[in-house]
Amino acid sequence: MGRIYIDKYVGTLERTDLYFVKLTLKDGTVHENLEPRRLFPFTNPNMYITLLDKDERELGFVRDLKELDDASVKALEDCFAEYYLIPRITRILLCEEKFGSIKWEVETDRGSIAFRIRSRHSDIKKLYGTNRIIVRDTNDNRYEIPDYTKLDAHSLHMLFSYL
Amino acid sequence: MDTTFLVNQKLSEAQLQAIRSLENENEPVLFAIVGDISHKAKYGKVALLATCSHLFTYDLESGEVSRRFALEEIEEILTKRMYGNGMMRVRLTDGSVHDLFRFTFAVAALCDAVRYYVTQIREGDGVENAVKMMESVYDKMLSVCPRCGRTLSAPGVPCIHCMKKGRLLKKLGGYLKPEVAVLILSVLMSVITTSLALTPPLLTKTLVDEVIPAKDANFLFYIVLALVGIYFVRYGLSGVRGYIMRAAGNRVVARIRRDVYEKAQHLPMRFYDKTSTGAVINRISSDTTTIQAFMLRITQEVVVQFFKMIGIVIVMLILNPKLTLFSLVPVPIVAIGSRIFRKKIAPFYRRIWRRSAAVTSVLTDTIPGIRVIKSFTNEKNATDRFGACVEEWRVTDTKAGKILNAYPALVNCLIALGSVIIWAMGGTLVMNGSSDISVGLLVSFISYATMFYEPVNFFANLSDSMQSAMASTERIMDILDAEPEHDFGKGNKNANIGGRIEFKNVNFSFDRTKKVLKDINLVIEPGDVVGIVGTTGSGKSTLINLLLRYYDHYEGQITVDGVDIRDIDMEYYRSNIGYVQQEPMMFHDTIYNNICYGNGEFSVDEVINAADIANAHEFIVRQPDGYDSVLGERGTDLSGGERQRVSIARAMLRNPKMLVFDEATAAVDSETERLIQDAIENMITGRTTLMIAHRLSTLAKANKIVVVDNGHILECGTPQELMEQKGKYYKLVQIQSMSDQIAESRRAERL
Repeated sequence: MGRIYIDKYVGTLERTDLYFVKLTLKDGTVHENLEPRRLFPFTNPNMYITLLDKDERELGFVRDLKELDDASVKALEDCFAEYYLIPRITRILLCEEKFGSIKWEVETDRGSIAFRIRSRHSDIKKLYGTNRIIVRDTNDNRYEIPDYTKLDAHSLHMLFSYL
Repeated sequence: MDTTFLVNQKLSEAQLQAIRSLENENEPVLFAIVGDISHKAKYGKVALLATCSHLFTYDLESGEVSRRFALEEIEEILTKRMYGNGMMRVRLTDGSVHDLFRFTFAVAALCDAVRYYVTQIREGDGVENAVKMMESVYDKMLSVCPRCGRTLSAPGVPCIHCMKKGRLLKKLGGYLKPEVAVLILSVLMSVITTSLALTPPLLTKTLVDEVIPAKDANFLFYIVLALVGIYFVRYGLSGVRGYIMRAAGNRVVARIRRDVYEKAQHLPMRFYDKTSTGAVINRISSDTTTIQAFMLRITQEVVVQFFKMIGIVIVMLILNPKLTLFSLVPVPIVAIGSRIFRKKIAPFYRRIWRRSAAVTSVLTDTIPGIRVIKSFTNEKNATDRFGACVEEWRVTDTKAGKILNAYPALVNCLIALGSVIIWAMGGTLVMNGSSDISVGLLVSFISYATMFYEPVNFFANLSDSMQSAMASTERIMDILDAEPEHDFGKGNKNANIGGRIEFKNVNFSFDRTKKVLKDINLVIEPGDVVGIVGTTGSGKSTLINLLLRYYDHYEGQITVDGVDIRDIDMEYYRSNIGYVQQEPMMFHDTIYNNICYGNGEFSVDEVINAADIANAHEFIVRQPDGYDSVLGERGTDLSGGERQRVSIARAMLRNPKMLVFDEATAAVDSETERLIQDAIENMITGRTTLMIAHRLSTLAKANKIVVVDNGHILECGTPQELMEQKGKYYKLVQIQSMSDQIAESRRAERL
């Protein structure tokens, strides 16, 4: 496979556009317009990062952010901050089933929002072995509850009927 | 001589005598196979009798005795399985063939065994050993209970009727044991609540007879207070009791479910061949609930209701024996009526249930197949069929509705009439100035009489709930008691699974009517890539199933590196084989978990590496959620080829020593086939590989081709050898290249 495993001894990354990076290898080779993506956006966001070229083919691969130099880490994190929008739910104001879909009203770290989800089976996902919950709404937006046990009593009560 | 011989059916004393009369002095009958069909294919009992040196038949009805064939003059025994029956024929040394015994498949296994019996004796193995072999076949064949003579649900299983009370209850008792303390506490609590339930009518009697006429406000206050207290304690206790019983019941049902599920995991494939998976699911989910209900609710209620019934009668008798008799007049009628009604209504419930099941089955048939319906414009037909089913359900349910509603009305009416009797008789007695009956007494009697019907109804219908619980228990025990997969070689992890595989004279049949594999002899050297080809139903997959040890009851031997695979630790053996199916099973979980499949011992790097080798990594990186994508959801439905690659990664991850592909590329287009082919080629280096394939192009890497036809190995050799032989393989290659050419030229025309 032609992929390049990148760490600080192999090359550096530089953010060039909204969510694109430029990879400069130590031997001087430059790859432009690479799109970094997390392979484990929920379970392991800081490891296993793939760099795709414009045909969505994997060109580079970062095992662990820790193996990169600080500037490259910053570049990737900035890209991810733009690319992944997963608001963290801090309070659940309402969560009730009506006409076949579940209506949510929540407060997140990015402000309050109301959304609907279609099915509690496939759209509310508790990550096995953790207390993290990923919620997906009818429009395919994602929300995250980092640790549901830390929610307040009212939010927990609302959530529990659907978990 | 009074030696008993082996026999597969219970014979009458006269029949036994008749058979014994056929014996010679020094040549007793050793075993008898009683078939249920005569030479002329009419039903009737005919026995095949065997002594240490002769075989012959005896018609138990006509008394006809066949020629006695001496074992020395028998060249071969042929058991020909025909349709619905079979014929045992003997070929003698002089070349003549004689029909010996016609049999139905009920005794087919025994007839097969006779063949070995004869060869064993002829080869000088000793009569004793041969009889022992027959004995074990008879044991397995046992189709009636030796104790009660009833037919068993399956040959060789313990008799349900004989074991029922003792064993079933013992088994259930085992599950109840940890809850004994709760059960006793609960019975005590219900005894208290029951006695509390008996007191209010007594207090109301005092109220009516003494307090109210005397206008004693003080006393009234105390009685009201007492009533309030009684009701509080009574309902409070019953609430607590309900809760602890539910908690205990949940623990029991959880334990049973877990046990049944665990057992189900270890059942051999043979069990699943005869029991549908739906039935197994049902046993784990709903039968356990029935048992829970029975064990906790019903058994408790028996104690409680019995206590209540006795309590009420005693209290009533103490108060007034004469009035007691009047009040209890309608009881037998209600009890008997309830019993009759239950019996009558049961078939209605079953009918309603079946009709609604029919409605559901039409639904599950047609809605998923909506494309077919539309493409054949069959909408009206489908609607009519559904409509007819719904109509049938409506008619049945409505019919049942009559009797369902009539009964409670009748019973309630009878109970009400009972209280009228008390009013009429008691009222007369009170007005006549009878000293021992008061108005208050009448009021309390009516309360007691109404209360009395609860236990009456309960006991009248107890046997029904017992029966359904017993049926559920039997179904569950069927799983719990079923023999798990044999793991004779547990702990033996010495074999090198990558070693030389050898099939030695392997014969196999699923259901003893048709042999699926016949005389399979095959050697696979380490590192061989073996292509197995053949038409559908030729036995290719069965061959693989035996190698994967899904079935252990074959004749002959399969060895790996010289060790019989049945002597190797099952878990160790299977974990060293990578198996890729035609239609890979994906679980509703993330791609990552689908690849490591519940096995946490692999590192993320290993999983990614396996996915890479399987050509799966490249499409996984394009998923928005990467390896965290949950399969089977909107957006992340993988295509057939992608699923196949995930399943290849799954097999690859375990770093198996042997690889088995069962038509891994049958259901994908040729581009995807190339990707999968690539993946397979990445994997097979250095591993013994078996590939079943329809498309011969899949077998480009194979260095050995096995052509299976009708359970036989027809041809076996390198592709070149087989091409030169110009046999079946040559023909298959020609047919496929021809159709490839046609497809090619069609494509060219279109361009």
